[in-house]
Amino acid sequence: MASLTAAAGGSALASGCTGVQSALNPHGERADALAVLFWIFTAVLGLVWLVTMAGLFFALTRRRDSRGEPAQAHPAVKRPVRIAFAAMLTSTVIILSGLAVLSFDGQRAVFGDGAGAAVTISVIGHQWWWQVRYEGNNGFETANEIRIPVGSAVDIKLTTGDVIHSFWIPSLAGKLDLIPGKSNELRIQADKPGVYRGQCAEFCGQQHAHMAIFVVALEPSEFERWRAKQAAPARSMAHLAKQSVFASAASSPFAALSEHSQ
Amino acid sequence: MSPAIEERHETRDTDLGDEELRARLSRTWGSARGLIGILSTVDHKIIGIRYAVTAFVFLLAGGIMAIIMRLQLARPDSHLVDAELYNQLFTMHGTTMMFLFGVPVGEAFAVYLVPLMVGTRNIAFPRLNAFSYYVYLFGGLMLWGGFALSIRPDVGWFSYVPLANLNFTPGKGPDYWAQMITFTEVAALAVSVEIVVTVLKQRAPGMTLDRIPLFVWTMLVHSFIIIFAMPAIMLASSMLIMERLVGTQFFNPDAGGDPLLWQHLFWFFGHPEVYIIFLPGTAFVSAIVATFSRRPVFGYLPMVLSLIAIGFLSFGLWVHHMFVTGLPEIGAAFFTASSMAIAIPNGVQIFCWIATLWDGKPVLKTPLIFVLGFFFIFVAGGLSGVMLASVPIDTQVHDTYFVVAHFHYVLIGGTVFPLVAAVYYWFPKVTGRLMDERLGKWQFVLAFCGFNITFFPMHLLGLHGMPRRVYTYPAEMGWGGLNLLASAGALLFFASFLLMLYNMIASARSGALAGDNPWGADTLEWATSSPPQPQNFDRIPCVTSGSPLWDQGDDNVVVGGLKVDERELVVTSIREARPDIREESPAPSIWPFLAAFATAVAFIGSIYTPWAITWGSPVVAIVLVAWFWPKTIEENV
Amino acid sequence: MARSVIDVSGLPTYAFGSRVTPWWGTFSFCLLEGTGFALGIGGYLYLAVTNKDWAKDAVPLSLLWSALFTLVLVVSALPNFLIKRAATRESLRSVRLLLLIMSAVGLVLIGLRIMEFSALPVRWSDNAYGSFVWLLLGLHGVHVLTDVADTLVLTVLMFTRHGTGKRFSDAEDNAFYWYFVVLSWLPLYAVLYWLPRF
Repeated sequence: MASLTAAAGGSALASGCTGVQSALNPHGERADALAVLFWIFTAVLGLVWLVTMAGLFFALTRRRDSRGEPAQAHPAVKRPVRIAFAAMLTSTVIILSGLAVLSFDGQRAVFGDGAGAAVTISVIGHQWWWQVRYEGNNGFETANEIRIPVGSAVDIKLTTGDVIHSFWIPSLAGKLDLIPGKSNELRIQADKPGVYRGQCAEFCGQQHAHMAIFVVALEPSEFERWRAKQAAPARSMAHLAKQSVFASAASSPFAALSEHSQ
Repeated sequence: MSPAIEERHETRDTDLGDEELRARLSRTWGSARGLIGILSTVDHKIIGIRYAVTAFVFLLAGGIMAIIMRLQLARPDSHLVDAELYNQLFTMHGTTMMFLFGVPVGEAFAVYLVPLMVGTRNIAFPRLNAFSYYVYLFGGLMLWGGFALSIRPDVGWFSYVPLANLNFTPGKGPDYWAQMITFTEVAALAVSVEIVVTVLKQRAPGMTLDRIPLFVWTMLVHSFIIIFAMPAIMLASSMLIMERLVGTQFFNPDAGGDPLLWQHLFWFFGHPEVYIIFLPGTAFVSAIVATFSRRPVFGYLPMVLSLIAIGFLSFGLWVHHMFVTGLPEIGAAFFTASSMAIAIPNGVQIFCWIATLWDGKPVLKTPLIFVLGFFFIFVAGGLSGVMLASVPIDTQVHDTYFVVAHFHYVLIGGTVFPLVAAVYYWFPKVTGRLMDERLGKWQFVLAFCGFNITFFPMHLLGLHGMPRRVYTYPAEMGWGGLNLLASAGALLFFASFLLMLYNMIASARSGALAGDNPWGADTLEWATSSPPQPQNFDRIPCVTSGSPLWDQGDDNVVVGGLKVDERELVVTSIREARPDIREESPAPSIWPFLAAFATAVAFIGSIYTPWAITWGSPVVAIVLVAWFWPKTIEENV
Repeated sequence: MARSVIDVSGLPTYAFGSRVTPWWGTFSFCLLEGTGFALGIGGYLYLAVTNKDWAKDAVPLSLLWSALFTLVLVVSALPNFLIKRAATRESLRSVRLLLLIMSAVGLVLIGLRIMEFSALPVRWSDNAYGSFVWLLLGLHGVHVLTDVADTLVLTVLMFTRHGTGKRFSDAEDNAFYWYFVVLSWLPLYAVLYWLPRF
């Protein structure tokens, strides 16, 4: 049975590369760093698990033949156990310290704010849609879809209009919450053109499951063309958003996906 | 005082032979028959069994919720249940498993076993103990009664504000949730105080600090964690209900409040809660590993120090549940370090258990087999916890199915597997009959396979982007296969509990007779009959070793001089356990039940009008006075 | 065969202080209630630091009633100490007298707390500051109320035929809890009444 689980796991891992919304299918600098960190942790901790299970297996099989021996209230503490205890304690401390250092390092890489971003976008969470506002003189709004230029850092300002939501595009970066009375900032960057799906990761009420968002990464020139077109007759799409939310979450972005992926 | 009474009082246990002593003590300590008698009992064993049975009923109820959720998620775009019902289901599942099963089932074993293990006749404050059970029962009935009446909380077991506020969630669901929290926390706090006092002051003479069984040490630390953690959730749930009922502004950022205050208070309780649920599991493991390895657990001192370290560290981790709220970087880094540090005492414990097995010749009975399952699953869950302690990794897996997988590995692996082991292990003590070994091994196969098939794929689902608490997902996401697998596993896992239920019922009727000590164990609960008499021990044992039943052999040294016709027990000093006082233990009383009932009515009423507290308090006060009012003049002597 | 090696027949049936179980029960409840107060103060300070509107909302509270309350509360530690001593000596006369004094003191304190609530410049629903003021004062008020109720019942008991033996231990336990009520007030007083003035 365990091997069945492992087999299922293995095949799923193999298919991970084509995941629509997968943290293991990174397409941005930050998501890359996170995936690498994840695999290092998995390898080290997996090894720890194997060693522990090997120890357990050895402990069980060492003296299996004789059973039901009389109890020993004061067994002598044997030398190998003392040595093993010291080794276990030392290696635990070393491994945990190593992982903590890697984690701090990763934290700096992920959160460290670099130079000014090419584009700053405000994302405002609502039950159950995303309002997207392009800042600047010719600002404009979209809903449930963010277009960004490939290869440039984009800062996303996260606020909420009602309850707590969480903004998460696994292929590009980790998630960050949208909290009333607070403004959070997340940097994303896409390496190549495509549509990257994300969805709200903090339970936000009845239709939480349908609160998807799509990041469409365009070649810079194409992005500028699109932006100019949007900005020209500066208009708000917010009033359109609510009625289009479910339709948009369910179908259109996948149409966009096939349009952009090849 | 008439001479007859005088004489009766003077009868001491040293005056009587074994047979007559047993009969007279069991009259003195027994519970009356009839409805009033049933509701008045203060016997810790009866109340412990009630706690356990109630908790198991809630386990099944929470399990059925889980099965419905798994059926819904088995296929993409499924319409078996709608979003509204699904949100209610996961709220009830989490709330039931955490508050109505996870915590109380640990209390159940503590209430039943700790007094037996320390060699006393009843738990400290036995009426408070009865009260706590009824408060727990009423809290659970209120939540599920509300559910049946369609008053259903649907904002998660964590009830984050502002979603749980009145303007986003009208209706009474979250109010029922918040009051149920208050009920069950009152119960847990009461039991913790009883356990602390029982362990500190009622140990059998000679049970010095270094002779306390690891099980009892664990329950002591567990009780202290409850004492320091549960006030946070009581405060938080009271603030939430005030926010909803009388318009306070604690969590409103526009009026000087902050929604993150709720999260801080909730997780200040919420993370220790994990250890509150998990530590009883380690208590079971310590007892079972020792018995089936035929030697005490290796490293008594490191084990006890690890427990205490876990107790302290569990309060320094809560912020790792808030890594994606946009905290200052340095603060988050601190909590990464502390979250990783708690792996060290846990590692020490795992090592000591394995070293014990290595040194002994383990006997592979069902309890030990489930403990082996615990090692396999819990260690994996603990290690994925190290991943979650890392802020950067957490930003990807937080609130995804990876976390769902992680904490089910920790909580089911760490608590439920040892719990099943504990049921097989102590069932003969409680009922006098052994459970069926063959069925037990089949149950293990079902449970182990079912569990891993259910929860291992969830790690992958989380990494592939599936968030928690979604009632459905589009087919295009590619999550269908793994979800189907998980759902199939859930059915297997659920079946394992039905098999256990069958085994319990069948064995209680016709299992093999157990005798006093069927496993040849070393702690005091095995020194008395199975099931134990109301007085627990006919003569209070004197302890001269950490493994009294292995060390003291046939030399049965006891305490003499306790009255036979009064409920007397020996109060001892904290460190040396020297006999100090013959304290009178309270007799059965109906007032704890009535007090719990009055409290329940006042609490439920307060959901509808704050005046219920005003009108309810005097009633509760009157009942409490009646409870504590001395009944006879002799009681004062 | 059982061999009796310790004879407990000569031990007392009650004692005082940390020798008895009720003392440890009360102590445990002090720990958990103290945690509740600490967390309440923690929440108050958390908002005072994180919310930028706090300074504007935090109108200083009047010092009159709270000063009287604090004064009476602190002074009550003296009769409370005397009760503890008289109870340990099992002096029924002194315990009765002192319990009457403590009951009166308790009722005065409840009166002062009611005056305090009626004079508060904020309502609980005005802002988070107001909510916390009401919460913390209310929380402590409940503790005063319970211990005063306990004292009243004990006073009545002491004037009945039950006023012997183990009841002295109960009186001592009650005095122990009153110390907690006094001590837990001091940090609350500092935070609620003096912090907003700086």
